[in-house]
Amino acid sequence: MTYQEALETLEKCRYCLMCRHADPLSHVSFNEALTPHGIALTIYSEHKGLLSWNEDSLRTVFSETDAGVARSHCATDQPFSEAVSAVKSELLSQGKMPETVARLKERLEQTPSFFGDAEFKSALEQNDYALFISDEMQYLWPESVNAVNTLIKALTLSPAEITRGKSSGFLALSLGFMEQAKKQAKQLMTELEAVKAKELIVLSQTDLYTCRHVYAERLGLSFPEEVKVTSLLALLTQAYKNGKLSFKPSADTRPYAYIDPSQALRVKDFDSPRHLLGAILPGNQVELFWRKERTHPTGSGSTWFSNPELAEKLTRARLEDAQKQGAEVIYCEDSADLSQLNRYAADYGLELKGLYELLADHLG
Amino acid sequence: MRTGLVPDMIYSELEEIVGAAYISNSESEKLVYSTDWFWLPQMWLDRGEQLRPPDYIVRPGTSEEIAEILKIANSYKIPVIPWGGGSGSQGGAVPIFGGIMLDVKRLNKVLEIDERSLTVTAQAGINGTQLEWAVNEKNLTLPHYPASANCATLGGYLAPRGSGTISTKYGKAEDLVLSMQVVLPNGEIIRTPKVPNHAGGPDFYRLFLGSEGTLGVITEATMQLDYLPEVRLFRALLFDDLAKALEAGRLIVTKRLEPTVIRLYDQKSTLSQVKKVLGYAFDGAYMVIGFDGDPDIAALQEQKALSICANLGAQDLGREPGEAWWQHRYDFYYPPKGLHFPWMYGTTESVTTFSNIEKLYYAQKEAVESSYKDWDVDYIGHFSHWFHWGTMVYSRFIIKNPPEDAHEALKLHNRIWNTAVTAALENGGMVNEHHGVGLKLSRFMRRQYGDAWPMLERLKNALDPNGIMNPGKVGFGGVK
Ligand SMILES: Cc1cc2nc3c(=O)[nH]c(=O)nc-3n(C[C@H](O)[C@H](O)[C@H](O)COP(=O)(O)OP(=O)(O)OC[C@H]3O[C@@H](n4cnc5c(N)ncnc54)[C@H](O)[C@@H]3O)c2cc1C
Ligand code: SF4
Repeated sequence: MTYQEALETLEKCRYCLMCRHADPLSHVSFNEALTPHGIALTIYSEHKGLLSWNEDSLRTVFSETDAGVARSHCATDQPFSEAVSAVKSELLSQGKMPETVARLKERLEQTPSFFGDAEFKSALEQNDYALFISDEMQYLWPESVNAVNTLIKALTLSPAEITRGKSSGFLALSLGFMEQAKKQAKQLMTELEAVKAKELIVLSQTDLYTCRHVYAERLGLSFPEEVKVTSLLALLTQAYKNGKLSFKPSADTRPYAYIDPSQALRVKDFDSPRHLLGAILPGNQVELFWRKERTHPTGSGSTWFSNPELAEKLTRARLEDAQKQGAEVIYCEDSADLSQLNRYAADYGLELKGLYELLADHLG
Repeated sequence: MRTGLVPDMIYSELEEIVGAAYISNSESEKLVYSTDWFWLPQMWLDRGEQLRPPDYIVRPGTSEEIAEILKIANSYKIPVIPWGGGSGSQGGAVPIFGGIMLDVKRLNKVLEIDERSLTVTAQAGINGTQLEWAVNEKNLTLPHYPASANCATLGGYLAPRGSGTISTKYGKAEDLVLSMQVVLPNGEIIRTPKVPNHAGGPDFYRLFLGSEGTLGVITEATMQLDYLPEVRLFRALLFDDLAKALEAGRLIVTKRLEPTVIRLYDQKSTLSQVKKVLGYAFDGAYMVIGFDGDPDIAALQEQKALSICANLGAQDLGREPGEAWWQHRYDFYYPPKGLHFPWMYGTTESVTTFSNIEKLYYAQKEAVESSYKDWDVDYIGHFSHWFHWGTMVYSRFIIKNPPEDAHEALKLHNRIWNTAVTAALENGGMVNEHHGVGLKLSRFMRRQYGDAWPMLERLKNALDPNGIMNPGKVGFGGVK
């Protein structure tokens, strides 16, 4: 989407307030300027000469992660996420960005991931299945890596690993670094082609959304149509339902909640994780108020880089919700979300556990 | 314009109350808070003109903090503008004289759901849909469904006396409130009696309904709930004559068939709006009727209503177009199907008795269409909130090519409003039915109330002697 096309969408959002009820940023900041309407009005007002770009107005725009919630709840299906990305990208190309993002830019130019720079050499041998272990899992919640391998083995699969420890490009995209996002995406796709996989297994809803939609629809790349992208959770659920996989029930009777990951609304597979949790921990699941269709991000995405205070508020809001609903343990499979929740979970007396670890530990 | 130390003094005093995280005077935030959903200020920005922004935006977390803020405002004699969701269409939350923008959205808690009495007590800054989600968890509903529920707040429902889609059966927001907590302009915090239907003196709580932030800040409200209905039935009808359709509506409500909805579009609306949003090309007056609750009772009520309509010559279009309307009822208001710039438009809704409604509608239509012919004005209307004694007409004027110059556009806009409101007042109607007064209709208040207006002014002066509360709105003047 070009800047000009973005303005056409923002022209509509500027005069619309219809995703406010679901909007996470204003829900935790109570700030009108951080609603899609407010962000659109800010951008539009600069365009009309009523505001200038400065640290404050830039921060408003860059605080928006990728507007997945607004996009999903939009009354008229406006591509608000795409519009905000396009504006960020235009601003970056003019060298306009808040200080927090400027610091990131430098880092991104030096390393391929925000989180680490270890080199994992993939064998890239031909295989019907490919597996993508992202930089987020590798660096932010590494304990999931072994669990994932155990679970994959239980499915009797031995996929070829591709771009291990690298980013899918989503984070760069959501900050407006389009070229970096494309570079990361192409690397993943090149390795995918090299192994000639028919199915790519991904470990987070973000990666599922990125491979299924972002590459083609937002980065203009042609993701190989013949490759099916599947989440490990969906594969496990299917195997469990077919009786090919079983889990031992846990003796833990404490009330627990599942935290829908930040990008859950992009994919809307709300059932798989709940189904699997129910197999191990039947009966004591509580639901958050901000769940499923109205789930909120945990603050793990680009907001953590562009506006850490706001990210912290998002995280705390999820934890408060869990505490209020009476949960003592919380589960999630997304590594970035886990690492973000982990920063403050103890403040709420909550024990945080990786869903993959739970599943691997209870394989029947 | 305040210069020197004072702005910083005020800022630091406000910051002391709410904390640094909940006060701002940043340029971009001030711009966003400089307009609500009123066409005029939106047009102003659209044409690249500057609006008067608030000087400070504060987000208090308690009634006590609000009380302290009002005391500061009184000592410096600066305006305070309560801001809920900013979705008001009348300019009620526009800070025309600057001052303190009091965003109440941090007061967003559900305090109690009483499942036996069917009431909810919540803080006034809670978002409408979020409140509905909370009561839905108990299989209950707050039967106030405005098209703006996604963006409006509970306080914003009450302060301008809003009305929702199903008001014909369940009443307006004001009919659903049992009691409120209000922070008065001098900082006193009061609670109105726990229930409204008593004989223990005047129901002064009604004073705050319709006060639009000019008499105090609503901080909590106890609202009546209902069970989520077992069924909702909708049906569409087509009348070849608006008068017969209005008579059908009158009979349905006066015979107390308890319709949830009677939405009657005039012929022009049917041809334009209904076609654009729902895709039906009907020639006539399109009416949707709805019934809800117990399946047997709703079915019987529907059957009786259909027979009234049949006797008046209506064509029964069946369920599908009725249900489609319910599904898409809010699409009429959103982009891209709703109204948009650079058009000029306004909703000149009014309410009156059954005896006057046709007269009012045609008088207003004739006045607007004939006076602004040169601007190719469109006047469309529908009748949507029905009472036992009358109904309201939700009419709109639309000009697709208004003057480009913002100042000329403002003049034309205000002239059309003068014409439309005069027609309403001269034909037994009120300045409006549910959008409130705000800035837009402020100048008509004296005329509407006649002899009673000085009493209202005296009340305002007694409660808010410095005139700090939302100055320039609801007919009241500026800060003294
Ligand atoms: C798309 C759309 C559709 C709409 N449909 C409807 C509809 O169906 N029915 C309807 O009635 N209205 C409708 N409106 C108008 C508007 O949404 C309502 O008037 C709404 O109830 C206003 O709520 P708010 O919280 O946004 O109030 P705001 O716009 O923030 O404020 C409105 C007025 O109330 C005052 N106020 C706000 N909160 C408080 C408080 N706590 N204490 C004291 N004063 C306060 C403000 O100062 C202002 O004067 C619509 C608006 C939009 C944008
Ligand atoms: S994303 Fe959709 S609902 Fe939200 S402001 Fe934009 S047009 Fe309105």
